[in-house]
Amino acid sequence: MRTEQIILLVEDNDADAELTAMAFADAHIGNALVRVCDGQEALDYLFAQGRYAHRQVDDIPAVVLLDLNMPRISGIEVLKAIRADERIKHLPVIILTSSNEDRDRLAAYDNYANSYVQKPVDYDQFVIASRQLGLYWLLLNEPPPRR
Amino acid sequence: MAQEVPAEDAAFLATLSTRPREKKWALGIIAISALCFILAAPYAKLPLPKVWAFIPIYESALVTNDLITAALLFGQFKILGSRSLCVLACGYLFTACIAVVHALTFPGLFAPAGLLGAGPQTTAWLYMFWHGGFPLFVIAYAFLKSENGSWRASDKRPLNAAVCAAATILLVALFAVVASLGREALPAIMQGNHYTPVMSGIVGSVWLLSLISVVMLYLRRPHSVLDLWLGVVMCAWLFDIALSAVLNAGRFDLGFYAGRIYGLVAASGVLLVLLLENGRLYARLAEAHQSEHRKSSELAAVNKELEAFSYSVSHDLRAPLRAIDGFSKALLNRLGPHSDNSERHYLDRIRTAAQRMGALIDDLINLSRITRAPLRAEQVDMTKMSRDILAELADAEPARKVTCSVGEGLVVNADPHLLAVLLRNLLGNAWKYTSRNAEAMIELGVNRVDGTQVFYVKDNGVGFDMTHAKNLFTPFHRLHTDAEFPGTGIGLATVHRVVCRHSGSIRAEAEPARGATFHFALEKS
Repeated sequence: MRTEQIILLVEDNDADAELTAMAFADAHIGNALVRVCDGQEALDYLFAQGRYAHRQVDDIPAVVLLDLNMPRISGIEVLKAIRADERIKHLPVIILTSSNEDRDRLAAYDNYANSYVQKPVDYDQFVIASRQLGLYWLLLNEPPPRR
Repeated sequence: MAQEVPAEDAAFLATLSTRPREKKWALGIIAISALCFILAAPYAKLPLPKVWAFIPIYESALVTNDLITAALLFGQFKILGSRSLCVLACGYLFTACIAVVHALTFPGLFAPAGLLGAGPQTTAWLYMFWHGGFPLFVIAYAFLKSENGSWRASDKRPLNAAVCAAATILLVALFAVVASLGREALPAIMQGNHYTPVMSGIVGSVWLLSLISVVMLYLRRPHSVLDLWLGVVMCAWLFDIALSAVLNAGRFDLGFYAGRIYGLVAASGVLLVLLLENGRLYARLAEAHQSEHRKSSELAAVNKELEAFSYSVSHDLRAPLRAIDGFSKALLNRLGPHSDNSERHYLDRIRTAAQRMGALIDDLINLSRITRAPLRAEQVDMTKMSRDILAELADAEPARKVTCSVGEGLVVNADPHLLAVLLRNLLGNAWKYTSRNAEAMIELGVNRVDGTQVFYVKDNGVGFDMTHAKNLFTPFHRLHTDAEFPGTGIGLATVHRVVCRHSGSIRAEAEPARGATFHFALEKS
């Protein structure tokens, strides 16, 4: 298991962020979960700028869990920025959102999201979903080779 | 005077009812014309200089006005299809054509005796045909005009405008031939530029025709705007004939000139009103168009708002529920084995309520989606779709024993996505409400009612009392408690909306403990 690789959670809602962390813990996903609070902070983190200027850009997360509806910079904008950058364009991005609207799903896939998961209201379902996501993206799926 | 003009026709001059102000104007104009007439009458015989140019100028103005009026009236006839309008248009075409012939045959104007083989009587007789003919058209117009102001209803056979126009031109040609070639057979009414005694009898009858047309117009109520102004025109026409053919002594006296001025007023009257009214109607149309535009953009804004609202409901309302459910679960996990059972019970209650609200929100979103989604109808194999859904239901509850019967070869023209929603709800309900039956039965089939396919989903489940079924298809209305049978009360509302979007219909038939049957059609019956 590539436990050294972190999961980046982009989520503006504190309760949702805590729930997601709890669900991943309950699903026994051992990877560190780094949470950023909105789209701007996500871009700062990924591109090692602002308060994350000390980071290395090529130290990329294993996977990004991206919320769509966020203040300032939306999830779709973040996704576009990731796909537009040579260094991190292959980063697996999973849209994790409350919305199941057609236009949101379409916008996500139009911008090459790797996966789209609707957060269930039932916590037990959420744990199951987290476990499956972890198993798939952190164990089963082979990431692109490092350059 | 009460009158019922169909709203769609009310925008035309021929169908617009008169307003009191217009009536006042019309009466005023008639009064002034009458006053001028009375002042001019005693001097009708006063000879004035012969202005030869007056005649072609006057008659070309007349021809132009009458032709434009005829064109406008033919245009209204094309839209309204009223026979009386066609006749009136022909009347104007008649005056235009005969005025041309009249000018050409006027002695001393284009040739000493007039063109077209005219004799000294030709022009005068043409004047009589002209001034006697037009009132006949007006009388026919008044006669054909329907009683109640509804135009299309009374017109059984439509007239062909081109045929009528051709017939009118032919009639004018006939009159021209009679007046020129057949002039010997007609009694002499002119001696040089002066009238003979025979003239008074003939002109009297021509004048009488005009009078009859005015009376006819007055009697045939209700009066449209066109009728009113046509009445004014015919009054001017009366003064025209009286001055220029009855009270005067011959050509080029005061009556001759003054009568022709009345004639010009008469020719311009209807045209002027038609043009003014057209302008006003155009302005009203533009206004209506603008307000329509405003309304549709308002509607679009409201729709957009609604969409934003439902998006917000789907997204923002679920987040707190997730927190309630998730943290309740966290609390449950932390409760030690020594905890009070009621603590667990309360937390379970909280979680159940949160999850139920989540389900309600999902159903509401689906309901609004069904209203918003575009309808894409195609031929759908309903037999296969129903069997698939029933198989899914059986897979979810393999322990249950349900006899399902789906009719063979059921095909319907419907939106496949919406149809699946409908069937999933109806079959799901049948499945749910037969859950207490040892021998559950669900049947889907079709009946033909007046050529319409009426499908039915029938079960032998708990059924319901029809007296409570009034609001069966309204959202959140349930006939069973959640403890008896779980549900959100949105399923049948969704079904109803699917049916409505297909312009179909749905009804229920049920009895307590004896099952329920839902009949639905996905097309207009």
